[in-house]
Amino acid sequence: MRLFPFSFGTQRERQPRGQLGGKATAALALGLTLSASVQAADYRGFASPGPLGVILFQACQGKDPARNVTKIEDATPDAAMSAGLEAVREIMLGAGRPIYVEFRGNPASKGVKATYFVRAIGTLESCAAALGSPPPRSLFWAGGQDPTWQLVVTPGEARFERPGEKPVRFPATPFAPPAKPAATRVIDAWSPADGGTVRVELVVEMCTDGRSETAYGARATVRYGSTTYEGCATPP
Amino acid sequence: MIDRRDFLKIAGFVVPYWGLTPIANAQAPVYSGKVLVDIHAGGGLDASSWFDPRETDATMNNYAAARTPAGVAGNIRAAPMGANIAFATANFRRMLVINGVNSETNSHDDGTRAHATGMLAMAYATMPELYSYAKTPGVPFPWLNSGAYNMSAGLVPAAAMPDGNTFRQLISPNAASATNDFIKASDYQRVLATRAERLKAQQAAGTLTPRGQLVNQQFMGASDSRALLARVNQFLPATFDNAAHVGLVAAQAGLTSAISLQSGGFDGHSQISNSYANSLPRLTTLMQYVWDKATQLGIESRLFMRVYSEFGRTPLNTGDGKDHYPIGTQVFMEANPTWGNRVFGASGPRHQATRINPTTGAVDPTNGKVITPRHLHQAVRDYLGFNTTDPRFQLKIPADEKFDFFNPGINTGYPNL
Repeated sequence: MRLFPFSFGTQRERQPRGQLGGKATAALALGLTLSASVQAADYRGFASPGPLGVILFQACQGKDPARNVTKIEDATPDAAMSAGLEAVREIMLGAGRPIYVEFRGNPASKGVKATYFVRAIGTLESCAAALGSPPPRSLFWAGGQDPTWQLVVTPGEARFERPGEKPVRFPATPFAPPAKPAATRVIDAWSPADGGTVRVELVVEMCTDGRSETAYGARATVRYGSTTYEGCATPP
Repeated sequence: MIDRRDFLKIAGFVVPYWGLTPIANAQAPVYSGKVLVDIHAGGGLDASSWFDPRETDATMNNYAAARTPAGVAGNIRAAPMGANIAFATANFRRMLVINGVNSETNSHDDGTRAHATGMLAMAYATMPELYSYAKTPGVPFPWLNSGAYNMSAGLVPAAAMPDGNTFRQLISPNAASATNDFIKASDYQRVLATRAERLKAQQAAGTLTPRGQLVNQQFMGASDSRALLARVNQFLPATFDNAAHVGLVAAQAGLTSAISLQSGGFDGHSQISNSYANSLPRLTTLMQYVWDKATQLGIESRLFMRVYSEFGRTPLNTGDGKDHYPIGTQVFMEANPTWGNRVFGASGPRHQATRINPTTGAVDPTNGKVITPRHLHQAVRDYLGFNTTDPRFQLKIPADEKFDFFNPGINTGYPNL
């Protein structure tokens, strides 16, 4: 599984890419094949609809927006990024303004090619506001409602949290990035500190709860004890 | 076979096209009826943080986790947040709380439209637009709007609420300042009188083209509206407090029948207790201001207030905020109503949609209906008397879904207690 330690810059170090299986689409495979030969990148900034379906992107550079606006080519599986932006825009307050978005991609000749959609958040209105979200040092996030839950992975540990319940701590190792990213992934972990096992199933596809003005690049199912928790996640 | 000239004569005789064009009513009396004050709590006001509190479930509210009970004012329970309790204590006799209202959407835009017009579908008239069209078609500002939903269905355009200075300039265009005029007042009046006589003479001569007649009528109508505006001089305060004050003075002078206001800050996706610490008192302060100022102006008995939001909110999320949820609360208020101090409708322990019997007000999972904005709009249309036969604006509510919200003998209360 790939983790996303955002550096809050526009460029990230090269990451290994590999073959995809399961529900991975041709688009995702294409994106990874192309990216193997170029500098991989994580991007965060604000996306706006442009003419003729073009997505315009103004990257965040720390607390400030970049001066230039570039074009995004959406090569994410099933155009997940476009779908995510649209899902957020449908319910957000002030639907005409740019939407904060994070994605994995590569520089392209006329802008940026997005290969993995991470998330889009309609409630953030500035680069500075986005710095604290997700919580600092979190590498992976999954969460949902009814009942409310979240799984936050930091370099030191993974924590499964539910309001009114004691957090359950797991080692971070099982959540480490896989050698070969895939469109689906199953993670099993045992908690030596608190007891119990957790199974996390991730599927790369646009996911939104339709309530939080947020869309993610993966769907998550967490099984802990006798309960199944459904929600969204940053992609594996 | 008739030629074009004959056809136009016949058509003009049967239905002169200018006869279909609404014009300012030259003899419009000063309006002295009910004034609708329609307040949009923008962002999605959480029912739990308003008048449908959940007091024991810590996953619902921070105040429940802190074991802080709701405030009780008459039959109404107020969440212990902001100045809710003080407001309810001061006003519960004026208040009808409608809980469990299903917006049928989680979208800000769609929910706002649904509550403003009664329907999720587009092209319906808002409550203030329809009301002002029915009650005050000829006054200068039938529908004054300050920041609330203002999309017109083509009946009455929303007049942007002028600020105090602009309002003065509208009323006295010849005034260069509070003490000086652009033109000597007596000369100005002489010019106006001469112009009015010329227009009437042109009209009486009957030689104007239909287009000319229409322009003439509209100009005279505008002049009459100007005369109405001039009446406001006697009501003008030295300074205006805010937009609501301008609207209330316009209502006092008989120039408007509908005032739309907005008070935002309710989209509390994170740390809802912190964000609502500002937005809730801002809303209740506005509501209280309207009542207090209306009392000062002597028009308290003429107000009918509605406070709505586009939807409600979920239980607490992991960020101590709340996300969008279709079930919410509305409040109706009037001075000394027979239907005050009541709660109609309910939502489940976690604000789930709940079926309410339309005729008894009781929770009724079998024969009940979930309250939606169109039910509320129909009830207000009936109550204030602005039902329309225009098929474009029918709310299409079956007879067995007509809730009797304003019947003082029917209550739902708080069945979750």
